[in-house]
Amino acid sequence: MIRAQNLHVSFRRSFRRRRIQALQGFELEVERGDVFALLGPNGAGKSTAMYCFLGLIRPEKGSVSVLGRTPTPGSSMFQRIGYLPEEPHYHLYLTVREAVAYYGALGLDPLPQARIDDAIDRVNLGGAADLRLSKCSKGMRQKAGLAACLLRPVDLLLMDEPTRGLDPMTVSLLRSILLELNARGTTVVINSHVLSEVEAVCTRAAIIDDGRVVIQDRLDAITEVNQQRYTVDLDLEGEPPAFVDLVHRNGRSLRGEIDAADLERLVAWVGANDAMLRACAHKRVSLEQAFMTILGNQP
Amino acid sequence: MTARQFLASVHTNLVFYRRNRLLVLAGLVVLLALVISIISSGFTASDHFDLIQGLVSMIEGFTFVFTAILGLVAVSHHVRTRSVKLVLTRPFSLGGWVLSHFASAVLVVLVLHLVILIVAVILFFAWDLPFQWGLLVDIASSVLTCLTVFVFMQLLSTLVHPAVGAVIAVIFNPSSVHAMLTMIEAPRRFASSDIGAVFYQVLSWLLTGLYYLLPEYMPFGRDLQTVFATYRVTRFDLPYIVLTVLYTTLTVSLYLMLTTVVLRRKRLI
Repeated sequence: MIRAQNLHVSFRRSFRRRRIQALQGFELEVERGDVFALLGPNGAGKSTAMYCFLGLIRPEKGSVSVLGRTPTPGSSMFQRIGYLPEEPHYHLYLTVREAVAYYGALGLDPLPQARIDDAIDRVNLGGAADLRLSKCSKGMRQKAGLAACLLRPVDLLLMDEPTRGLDPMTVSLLRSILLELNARGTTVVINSHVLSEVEAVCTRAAIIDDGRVVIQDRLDAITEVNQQRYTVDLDLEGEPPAFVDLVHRNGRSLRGEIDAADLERLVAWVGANDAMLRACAHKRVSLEQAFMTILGNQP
Repeated sequence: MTARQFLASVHTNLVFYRRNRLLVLAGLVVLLALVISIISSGFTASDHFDLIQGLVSMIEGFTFVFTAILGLVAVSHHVRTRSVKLVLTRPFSLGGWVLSHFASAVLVVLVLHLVILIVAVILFFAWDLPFQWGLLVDIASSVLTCLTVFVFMQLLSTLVHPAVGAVIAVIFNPSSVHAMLTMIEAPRRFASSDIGAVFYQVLSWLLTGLYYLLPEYMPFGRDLQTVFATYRVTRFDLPYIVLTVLYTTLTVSLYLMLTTVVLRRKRLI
């Protein structure tokens, strides 16, 4: 769906300042049907990568392929791509209805008015449809942008910080819309800082730092990466060995944590003692913990 | 790009013009000038034909300034507010978008000149003057002038800040550059040192290049001077009218193309 290979992008904020390397050797692959998250600290290059996917930035080196083609602004491939920008960079002089209708009218096929009204209603903006975007709150503008994304079925939806500035109700609405679109076959790429949101909707993620993809994988795999700890469930009479950190105990059953290096010792200990190892799994951590661990391990 | 997409863009541009405070203000100034001119002309005892001519010429002047402001804000507003991103992430080309702005300006310029024409025709009949076809040539020439200034301002506003663009347009126009060329002609010919001669020669080349790059708003104005002064048109004026149309078509096409190229190279994020 999206393939970025060895992307290099640099900026110069003014003539006198030195160039900033926004992307350096950026590699990414998003597969069809993914709800993919681009994660990373501020200035990591997430938005720049998204602009490359949209063709708004041409990389100095490397290649991008979106839906099998090199993205070019205004090309026909955008009939199959939806985009929700980070900042409310909309046509603020238009009303919500006019803006959604305009973005819809820029598509290749005609759009019935009912579809525009349905999309506005879907994001609960029916009451403010005739309000100018300049008078709308940031959240309302984002909803208008989202409504524009709902006008036609798309293969790929790119969202830059979609939940920024949204109230919890709208975040929940956005989540349900995303999952609904994904269930209908839309691949979604989200650039976000809100890790709990990403955890709730995304299937795969990439962690970006300093213009490079540090890791990209399934979300459940990322939360296990670099975890040197195992959670073990034991059944035993006496005391567990010293290298097991007790989490809780209820009669014979206990749950503890061990270092990965102690796994073989534990198996040997269980065999030698009157004990049973009921379960053993990588210790699950939240995405936030994994994020911090992965970025903390960067040189 | 389909006709429906193009028309949707033109419609949105017209909404933008209508809701942009600067343009509304400039439009009101044009309207006010028109009203004051008509009222004041009614109380003046001078020749009616001269009054019509003065009125048309003044309103054309205001329309020229209005179109220049339109050119400065039309594209640059969307680039500066970055709303152009939302157009380019749709299947609608950058060239089509720039062209839609030009089409919108053509509509506005035509409507403004239609108003001038209607007012002038009414005054011709009200004062019982024989209608002169040269009025149409004068107004058509003003339309072409406005379109040229629109595309030039549009290009400048994509290269630099619109305010800087306005200053550049005022300082560097074919007349001022020609005046500069005339000024340096004597020092170039009679430079006392070799360095001075080289300096003036290079400056002369640069100014000559600039002279040909800048658009001429009234390319054959001197040849059509009689038409503008008397509103009388003869068959001898026809070649200059055709040449004016050709020059404007070429200039407009070139500047629209340059605007598209500049925007394509710009990071519109």
